[in-house]
Amino acid sequence: MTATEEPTLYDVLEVDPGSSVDELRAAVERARETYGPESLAVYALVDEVQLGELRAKLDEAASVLLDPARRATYDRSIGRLGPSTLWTEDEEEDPAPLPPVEPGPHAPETPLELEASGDEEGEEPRQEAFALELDDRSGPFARATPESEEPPAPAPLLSEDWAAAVPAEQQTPRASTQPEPAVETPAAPVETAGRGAAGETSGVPGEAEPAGRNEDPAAASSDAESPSERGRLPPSLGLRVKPGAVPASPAPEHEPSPEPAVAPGPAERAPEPPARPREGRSRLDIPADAEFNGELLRRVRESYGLSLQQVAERTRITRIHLENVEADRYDHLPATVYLRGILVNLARELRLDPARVSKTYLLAAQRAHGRAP
Amino acid sequence: MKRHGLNNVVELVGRPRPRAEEAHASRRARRIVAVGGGKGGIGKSLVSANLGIALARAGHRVTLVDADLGGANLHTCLGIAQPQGTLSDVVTRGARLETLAAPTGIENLSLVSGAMDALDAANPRAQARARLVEQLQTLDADYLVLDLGAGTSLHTIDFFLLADHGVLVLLPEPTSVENAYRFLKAALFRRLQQAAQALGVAHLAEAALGSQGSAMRTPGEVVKAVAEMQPDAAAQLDRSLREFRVKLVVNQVRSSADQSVGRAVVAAWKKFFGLDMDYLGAIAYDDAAWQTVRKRRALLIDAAASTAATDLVTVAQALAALDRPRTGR
Repeated sequence: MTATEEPTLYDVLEVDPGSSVDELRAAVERARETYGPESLAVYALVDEVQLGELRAKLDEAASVLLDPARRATYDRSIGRLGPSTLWTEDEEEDPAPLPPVEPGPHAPETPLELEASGDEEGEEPRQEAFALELDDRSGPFARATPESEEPPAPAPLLSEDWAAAVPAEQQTPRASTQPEPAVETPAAPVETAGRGAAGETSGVPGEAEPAGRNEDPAAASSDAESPSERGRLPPSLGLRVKPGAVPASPAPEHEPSPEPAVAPGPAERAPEPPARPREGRSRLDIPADAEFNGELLRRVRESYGLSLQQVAERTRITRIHLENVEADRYDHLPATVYLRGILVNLARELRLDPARVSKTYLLAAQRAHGRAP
Repeated sequence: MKRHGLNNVVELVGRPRPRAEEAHASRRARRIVAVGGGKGGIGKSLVSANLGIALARAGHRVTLVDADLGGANLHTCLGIAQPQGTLSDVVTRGARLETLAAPTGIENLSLVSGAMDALDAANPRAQARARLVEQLQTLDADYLVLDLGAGTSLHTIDFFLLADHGVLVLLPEPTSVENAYRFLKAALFRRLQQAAQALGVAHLAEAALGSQGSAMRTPGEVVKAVAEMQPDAAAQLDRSLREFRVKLVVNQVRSSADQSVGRAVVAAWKKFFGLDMDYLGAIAYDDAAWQTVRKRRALLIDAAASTAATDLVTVAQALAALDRPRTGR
């Protein structure tokens, strides 16, 4: 990585890389007080964009550094080896020691079907996503936790929501009010719509907004108007797989039908619920075997009329990362485990199959590095 | 040069110790302190007057200068009549500043009033301003404390910039914070302009800043841009900008949340502008403050035991402490 000029996550939090967890927590709390929406100190100091960028960076720093496993991996990625970071080099490709992280690109060959047995995925489906992992370690942000009763808006942690946003999101996977495996995360509308639509005859799985959480297939499928008049999320375009490309089962009740790869890898917490939409209702026809690269991701994003900035705000992926992803600037992208998180989040935002996107993109990145796929 | 006063531990409760005569050889106010903050009514005059008193009590020879040219009332804060001569005499008829300094009844503390009765004088022309600045810089005193007016007018900014210690006063309120930042950014922008001009790289700095100073980029970015063309000048520019090291005082603090505002402002300023700021401390909201103003008495004289007075003494100590480790400039 050419990260020497970039401030590290430790720099962002203004702590020493050797800081203890307590020190890090204190730093996060301090940062929240200083740069959070209630802080006077940033009032009228800089514009909202600058502030938003800083807050996103702080979120990223908090979520990575407060998670021991991710911190260790991150330390390694910046060339810092601590007592807890004595991994061997090849583990970057095989993050087995990091249970919460998604499988490597060597995951089973049938990513689309893996999700089949979604029932076992009651929780923790999306470990890899930024800011989803604070869990109970999120002391500093606890203040905002009460808000997480709300169905978390999939949206955009705009600056005002900075403090509240993290817990809201991280809480989501545990939302007891939504036992359905399909609705654990902000991105849930995708799956919801997808599953609903699966039983329907046609139509775009719309209703991407939080409203989509109520599983009303009819409402969802009847809804196909333009993104702009909807809330902040565009309607799903069902950018999935072409009909017939997969042994799809039209009947929604048979969600777990494809059993081939039932045993998801140890870390394969297949986040996606059963019955991904198998109908080809996409406006942008993405073949099942599509290989996602930056160009394709950009086209998909643009098909929704989303700007980079909008995507950055919603996913809280730093805009720089998004730009680098779309430009296939592999050298500028973070370590694989983080890149995977970025890709999964991005894919979810774009209503793409996260597993497929991350797998193919990472493969391409590896090839570019001259390593065997 | 010996620097007794500044090297001694500041004793704010002790007896005043008159300065030795040899100091007259100095020909320079050793430290110029300018108290500003952009917004009106935030206690700049209160801070200036009592800062002056605290420093004088610690044995420093202090001259207070009411540089709020349009709205001078520092004499009222000190409970004395308006001095006969004012800054306008310097501007209009070339009077020497020393002759204008009036005793305040407090040992070691004198006052130069800023009242500008001539309509024009509140906005002195460049030449008159330069004469004033020259006199301020050569005034013989340990501390020259300038009480600046509200707003971001050019002469206010210039006074702030010529000071060794620019003290920024703000209240923990959005309006005050907003004005304080506006003031700071204006001062920084002017500093940048002046420094770039002196180094002959004004055009480069301008280009780096873009069309407007309002959307100001960080000093670091400007320096970097200049460095691409003129590395040497950029290094000097960088040094000059880093000297823009504001001293912060948060006034009228009421809650523990208010208490943390000072540190947060220091952190945020550093984060976004890359510049250090020294936090001198907070002054509690205290009825004694407005009560003494109404009585036209100084807080440190009339209510020395009040919380606000104690806080002001602490602020003065923090300020004096900045000068202790170093000698000369």
